[in-house]
Amino acid sequence: MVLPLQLSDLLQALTAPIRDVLVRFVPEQWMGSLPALTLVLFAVLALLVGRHVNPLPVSLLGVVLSAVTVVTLDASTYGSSFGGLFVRDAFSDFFIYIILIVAVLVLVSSTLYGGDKGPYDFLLLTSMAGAIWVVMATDLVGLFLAWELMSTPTYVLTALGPHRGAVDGAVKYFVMGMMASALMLFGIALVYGVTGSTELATVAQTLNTMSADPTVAPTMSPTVLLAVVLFILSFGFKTGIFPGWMWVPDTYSTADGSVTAYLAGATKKTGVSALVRILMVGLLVSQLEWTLLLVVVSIMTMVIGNVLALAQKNIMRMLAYSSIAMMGYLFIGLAAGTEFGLAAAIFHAFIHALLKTTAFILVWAMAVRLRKVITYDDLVGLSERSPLAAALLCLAVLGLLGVPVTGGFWSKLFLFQSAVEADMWWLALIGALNTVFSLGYYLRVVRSCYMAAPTRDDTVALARGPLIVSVLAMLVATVLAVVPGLVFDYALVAARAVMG
Amino acid sequence: MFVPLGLAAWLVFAVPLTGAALTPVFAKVHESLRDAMAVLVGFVTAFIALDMVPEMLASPSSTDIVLLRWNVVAGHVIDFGVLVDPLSVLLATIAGGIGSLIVLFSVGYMTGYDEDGNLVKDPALTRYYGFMQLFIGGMILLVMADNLLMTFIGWEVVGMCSYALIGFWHNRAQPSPVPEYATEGEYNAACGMKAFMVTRVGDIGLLAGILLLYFITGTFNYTEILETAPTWVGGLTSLTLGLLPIAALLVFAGPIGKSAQFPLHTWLPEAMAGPTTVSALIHAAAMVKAGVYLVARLVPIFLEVFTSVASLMVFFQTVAWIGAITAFMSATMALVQDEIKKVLAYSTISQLGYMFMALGATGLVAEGVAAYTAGTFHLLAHAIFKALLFLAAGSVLHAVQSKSMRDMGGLSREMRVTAATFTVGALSLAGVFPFIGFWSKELIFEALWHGEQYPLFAVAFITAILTAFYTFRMVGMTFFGEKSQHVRDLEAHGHHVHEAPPVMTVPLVLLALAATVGGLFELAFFGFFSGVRTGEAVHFDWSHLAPFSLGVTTLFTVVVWGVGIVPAYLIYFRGGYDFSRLKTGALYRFLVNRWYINRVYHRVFVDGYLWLSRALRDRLEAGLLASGEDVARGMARVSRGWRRTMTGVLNTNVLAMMLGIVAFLCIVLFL
Repeated sequence: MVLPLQLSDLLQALTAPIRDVLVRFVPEQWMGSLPALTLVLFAVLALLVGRHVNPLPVSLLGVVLSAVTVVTLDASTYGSSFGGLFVRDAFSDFFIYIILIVAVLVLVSSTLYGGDKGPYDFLLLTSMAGAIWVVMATDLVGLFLAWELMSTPTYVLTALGPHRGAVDGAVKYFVMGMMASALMLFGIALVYGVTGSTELATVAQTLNTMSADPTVAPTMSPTVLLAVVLFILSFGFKTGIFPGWMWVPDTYSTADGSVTAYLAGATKKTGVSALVRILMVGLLVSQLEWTLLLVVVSIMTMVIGNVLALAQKNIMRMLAYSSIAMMGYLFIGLAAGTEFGLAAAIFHAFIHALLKTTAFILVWAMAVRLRKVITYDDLVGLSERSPLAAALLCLAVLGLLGVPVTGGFWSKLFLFQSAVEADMWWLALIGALNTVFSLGYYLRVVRSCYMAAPTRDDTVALARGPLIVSVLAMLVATVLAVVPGLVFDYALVAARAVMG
Repeated sequence: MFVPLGLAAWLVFAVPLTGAALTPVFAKVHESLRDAMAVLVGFVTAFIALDMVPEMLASPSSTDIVLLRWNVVAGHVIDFGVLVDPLSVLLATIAGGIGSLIVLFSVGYMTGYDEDGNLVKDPALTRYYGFMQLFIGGMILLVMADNLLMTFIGWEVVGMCSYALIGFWHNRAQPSPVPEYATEGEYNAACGMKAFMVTRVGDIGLLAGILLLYFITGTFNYTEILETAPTWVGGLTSLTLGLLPIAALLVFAGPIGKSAQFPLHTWLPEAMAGPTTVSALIHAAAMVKAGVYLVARLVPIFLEVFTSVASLMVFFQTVAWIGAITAFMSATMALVQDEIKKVLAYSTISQLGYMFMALGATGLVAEGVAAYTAGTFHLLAHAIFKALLFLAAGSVLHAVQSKSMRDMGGLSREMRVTAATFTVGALSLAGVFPFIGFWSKELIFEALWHGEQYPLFAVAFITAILTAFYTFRMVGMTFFGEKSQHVRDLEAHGHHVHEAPPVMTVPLVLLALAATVGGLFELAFFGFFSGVRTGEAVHFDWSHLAPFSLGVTTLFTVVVWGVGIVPAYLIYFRGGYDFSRLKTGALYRFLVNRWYINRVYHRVFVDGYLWLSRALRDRLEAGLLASGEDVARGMARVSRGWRRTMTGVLNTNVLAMMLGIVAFLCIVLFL
């Protein structure tokens, strides 16, 4: 990636004074976690400011400053924090960028929320700080703590939806989330029991020596495998993959749309990041087994998402199922288990964050505007009632489909390519067939927007904030269609940081 | 000279492309501004193109200038740049120079007078000038490009413009010249479509060939393919070794379509449906020259590879023989045409065949450089005299308001300039000393004769006789002999046939001048072309090529004049012979029906396709559709049924997750 790497050099040079100040006043043990700590600080500020006015500028400033700390503090020098509990590297930085981009999109569109904005922003920013720690965690205990910090605010946020259904969805999410946490703890305990450590690098080392020892290997392997299963299940729950996906459509469609966008854009991805770290670093010894599981997960998730999305009338639900299906595609890259596959997967995560967040925000803005649940019928004639929104929505949907108008084309191509290169051409074939299925519901959106005869001709004036950020997001996604290397080359570096 | 070479190479196609984009804007301001800007853009382009020539003449060289780098994904980089070498500069000069004259000519040609004598402009002229400039820009982009991909982009731009311009008069209400269509407009539109579709067949081959070449060589760039030839030729596997000739032939499919060679030559005569200026542009400056250019561009590369990959012989054989067959076949068809533009169209196909013959022979004869020079020199010569012939024909058409030569005759008295310049063009086409066509044809004869390619030479020789004959038949029928009934009717109605305005005759005179003295620059041409980059193994030595060499082959040329021109003079200038009996003969019908090739294509590809698609629709598609609907309905049912299990009941969800643990454990433990 010629340009952005140089760009980051330039930004680092520009922000050098900030770095000097930070280096002088911030304890060295905190440096690596500064992006998250900044968010926590501004979360509190937002809560205070939010008592009287809309805290949006404060929140946005927090996100921007957090991004500044990511850029200015070089991960290789200032990456470690809290005694190596949370460490920034190329891989975590990639996800931090995803989280921060989604954060901007979600915060701006949160102006649609009718209730008290102070707590709302506080909860969002805290959750984002947790998400950043999740992707940085190199220790299972630290990971668990960060995970809870990220999850707990979202349980509240999902309940803040405008309808009573939101509470219903939130409760489901909460109960299943708690269960996932329990399973995760159990898995951590098993790993600790076998290896005597929770630090991923040490775990990997110990497991390696143990598996080489024929007297120990047979007894430890079932325990480790149980841990693998538990991890895939518990982290996969947040990611919305088989078999813990059932809460996704209920919660996504009932919650406040901005929160849904955040769940789909950011927290989903942290599950991927955590799984990658645990499986590809900590539990690499049992790669043979978890590859098999990931293949099963990938296929089931794709099929579930695509088949069930076909029958939906509610666009939010359709998008929820589609984001389940997208995670299925993503797991193709993980199952391939190669550096290229991993890079393709996280590139897909990046593209998906842009596209899906945009789609959710747009549909939610419409829902707020029209005061109803958006179905395909409401999209009819949108090309005339709100041309910009229709164009953006269709662009996002076509991008999700993999049409080469956005980087979504490349991410899907790379995913399938990685499967073929790993001698799993049948997995790529299943993915391609699933893409065909997905035509059934994605194209319905385009048809409703552009081809169906309009039944109403009054304009739908959407709120300006969501529209602006949607335009920006789709602009980036479209640029990535021409030069995917801008992000993908960075994804390769990130993948190398984990696999290398 | 005035513009730095690196900048000129970009400007030369950026200017007309920008001009094309701005044409509607200028048209909004004023119609005359639009026309003036089109002419200005044309001449600026021509100036920039000509400006590159002295520099190239002084120091012939090949420079690759990269401007844009498309970094697709790590390691996959595609550079977009221009290649400045004698070949590209020559073609850019032809396209820009002749193109600008044609645009200037258009200002006069695309207007007319109504009954009251008022000036009438074609209402769609914005479209016309826009596409003309785009056409020229696309052609120059094609020739200046330093890689196959960019060439292909220009290639497609040219194809699209040809479609739009051939069908330019798509809403004329006059009766159609052929019975299949209701109006002339419909016929014109169909002709544009035909040009597009037929060339498209070749384009698909070209695209496949380009991608195959990329697969084999790892680059699109001409210079890189040539320079890294030892490396990638060394790395050829048995698969790629087998693919290489196929790739070469597929690439040649593009030129076959674009340059109207057999078997894709059928579109060019119909392309006459467009305005004559468009025909001139297609025949002389752009479009059909694109194919010759691409082959000329690739021949040095393939020659280099040929030294180690003998199977590439098939490429050179194919190029030479396709050229030979086309040259002969279309010359015979030209013998019987009644429309002046049709004669010119067939002669273009035939002359292009000569060029391919020579370029193909480059790989077959010992003196490859002689054949290569002959092919490219003929390209230049043909561009000049064919533009001249077309524009002069346009002038005639403008005057007599008819396409058929039977409606002309004896025009030389009223249209002196047109008749004189047309005759110069005809002499050049027939290969008469000292016009430019003589020198280029002589070069081809020489290369084939001394290269001991006697079968090819025989075809070239016979074709030359036919060419001389039909050329002077055309001159005789149009400008000499008796005045036709049509002309006399016109005069009886007070419409005296008159010479064209200066805006039309100036280009004619300029081109006639070039056709007369152009051959004298043969030596300069050889020196100019020494800058074309050739490989390590096959090095073209231009210095020992003898210019103005007369020898055995000159005798043949003289025979051509005798056997070709003299009978035409006797029959069509003097008159008095009656050959109408021949019109019922089988040979005449065979030729007039274009060897029945068109009809066979229509039967096989149009009727056959329709038959097949109808059969498929009735037999196969109905069933497939039904089953497809079943699948869709089935999926919908599955989806709906499954959805019913999505009760949202928390207990079920938790249970499913728990079952998941069990299932996963079973998988990892027992599989």
